[in-house]
Amino acid sequence: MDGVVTRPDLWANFIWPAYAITLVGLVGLLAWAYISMRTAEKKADEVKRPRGSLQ
Amino acid sequence: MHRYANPTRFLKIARVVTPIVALLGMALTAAGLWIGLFASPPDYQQGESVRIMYVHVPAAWLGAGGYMSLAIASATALIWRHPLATIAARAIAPAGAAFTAICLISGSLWGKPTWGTYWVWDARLTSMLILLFLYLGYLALSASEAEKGGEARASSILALVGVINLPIIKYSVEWWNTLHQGSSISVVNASSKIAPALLTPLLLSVAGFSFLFAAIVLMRMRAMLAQQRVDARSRRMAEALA
Repeated sequence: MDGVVTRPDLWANFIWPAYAITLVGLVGLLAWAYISMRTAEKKADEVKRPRGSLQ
Repeated sequence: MHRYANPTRFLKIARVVTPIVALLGMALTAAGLWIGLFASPPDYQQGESVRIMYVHVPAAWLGAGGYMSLAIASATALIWRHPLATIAARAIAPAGAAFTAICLISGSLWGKPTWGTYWVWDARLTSMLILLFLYLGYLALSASEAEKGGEARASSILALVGVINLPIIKYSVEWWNTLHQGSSISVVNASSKIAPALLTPLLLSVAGFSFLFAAIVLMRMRAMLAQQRVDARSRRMAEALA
């Protein structure tokens, strides 16, 4: 694995930067979508069932 | 279609489907990129730089495909006023814009070792850049409409007008003399000019990226529906207090 990561041809051909930018973009997008969904659904649950309510 | 346009029914299905789609997307993307990086051979002409294809092509397909679904959702919102159509369009737009940006950046990084330049005002590259601007325009307009609490009429019309760019993207490599290569895969004829050793990781990453796109859209739709419930509840409480 180490040998592959340090392969100069993969750096010279911009393969690592292209993969890094793509993965950062994908992970960022997934994290943003997940966090915004969890936050909104939590808020909706709290509004629906106020704290301390037995309903 | 009408059956699933009910937000409650949609949420019930989305809660089950979202984790499955997200996990499938992660697994297929990881497999495709891993094989593409470490197990597939270099191209006989392009050498190692062909490995950028495994991120560039799926991002390009989803950038363009995402816009098509944005336009379909917008048309549905305009014509049938489905409660979920506007939400779907607003959920698709940021994902589509991000995939288009990834396509442009990875393509530019692929262009340097292949063509000797990061950018040329080539028909394919320029039409993809216009696609990104269309997404950004849609995002700005729909955010402004959402803030005012109005219907997504202007943004839906913009999304429909922008569809004209899709055939231009597709046929740009045939209509004009471009640096960008012609298509190597035909979905219509189910044929490919790519060797199987390179095609397998490409198809895996296309499938993986597509599932991730779907997961992002589903999560954004769930977030927007939850926010709508909060807003509706706040309005009812304010009315009751008034």
